[in-house]
Amino acid sequence: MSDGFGLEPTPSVDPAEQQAGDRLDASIEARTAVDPVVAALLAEGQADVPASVVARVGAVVAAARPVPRPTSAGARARRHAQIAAAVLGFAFFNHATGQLFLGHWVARQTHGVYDAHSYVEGGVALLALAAVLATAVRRSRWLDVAALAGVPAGLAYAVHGAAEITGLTWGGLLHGSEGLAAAALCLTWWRARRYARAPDSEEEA
Amino acid sequence: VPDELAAVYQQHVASVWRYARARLPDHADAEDVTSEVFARAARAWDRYDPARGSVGAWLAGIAHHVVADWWRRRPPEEPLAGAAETAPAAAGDPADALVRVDDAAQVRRHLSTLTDREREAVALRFGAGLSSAEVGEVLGISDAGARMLVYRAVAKLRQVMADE
Repeated sequence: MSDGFGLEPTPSVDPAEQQAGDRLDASIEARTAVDPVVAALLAEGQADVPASVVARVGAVVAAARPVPRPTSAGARARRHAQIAAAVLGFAFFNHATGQLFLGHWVARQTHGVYDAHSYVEGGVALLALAAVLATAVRRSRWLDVAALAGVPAGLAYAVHGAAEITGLTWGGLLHGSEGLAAAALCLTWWRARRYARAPDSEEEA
Repeated sequence: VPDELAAVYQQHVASVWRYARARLPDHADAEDVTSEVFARAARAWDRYDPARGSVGAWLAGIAHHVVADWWRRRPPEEPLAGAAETAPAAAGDPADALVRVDDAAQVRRHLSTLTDREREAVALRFGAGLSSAEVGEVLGISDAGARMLVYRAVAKLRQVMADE
């Protein structure tokens, strides 16, 4: 048996049937049903709650502590970190594309040696980093993972590749943007962590 | 915990439990789900916005998700027909009450003949005591659509019981 949420479409409406549905609805509302099925369903809606349920739920409510609504400043800080993660992820994705599909050209432009094995595996690793960052853009609880993985990598790429600017301007700019985005992610993530996070606010992030 | 939440619990525990009972195989599951609904409601209480709907509809929305989670975690072969337990009798003439209990048990046994969406609409309308507009809101359909779902569900139950 399926859970049955949202599998069937909203039924099409026949005017006569709609009127009958309206009448039934009015009788349910007024609790004046003479139909035994409706009367039985209405009786079900009057069933007494077992004392065990009342006691158990009462204990749950008494012990519960509402989670405070996340502050707008905290939400804004997370949003900034997510934007930085998006930029860094985009840069990594572009870098991965270059590694995977333009390796020969990149090697030639930087006067290096093309090694397919290194280029492909480096490209795959960059794609994985980009995927983590993209996840953090959707789910703020991934920001910790994204920052811990993305910031060192972004800074390392910046340091390692900045010199490319003389041989391959495009590559140098890409490395530089990775470094800047990584630094931005580091700062915004650190700032976001200062705000108390509400566990249930994930869907809103 | 705010006083309002305690008042909400006292006012709505019955409707949430009745809804859960109509959607789940047995009383123990309904009790677990009811408890979880109020645990989530308590945690999210600060985020409840009365301008967006009644507290009953808000709780029903939470219950809808908790029940969906319950079914996701559950093996698919769990039969809903096992829910045919007798309903506690309402106050009044004991003979009438017995007849009502018998009818209610019969109706509950036949809920499994409904589509899942019809059963959900019936549970929200009769169990949770929501209006058609609120049922539609929880299910993401118009209130006319919700009325038709309930109407067709009742017609189907009537037919199945007549054929028996």
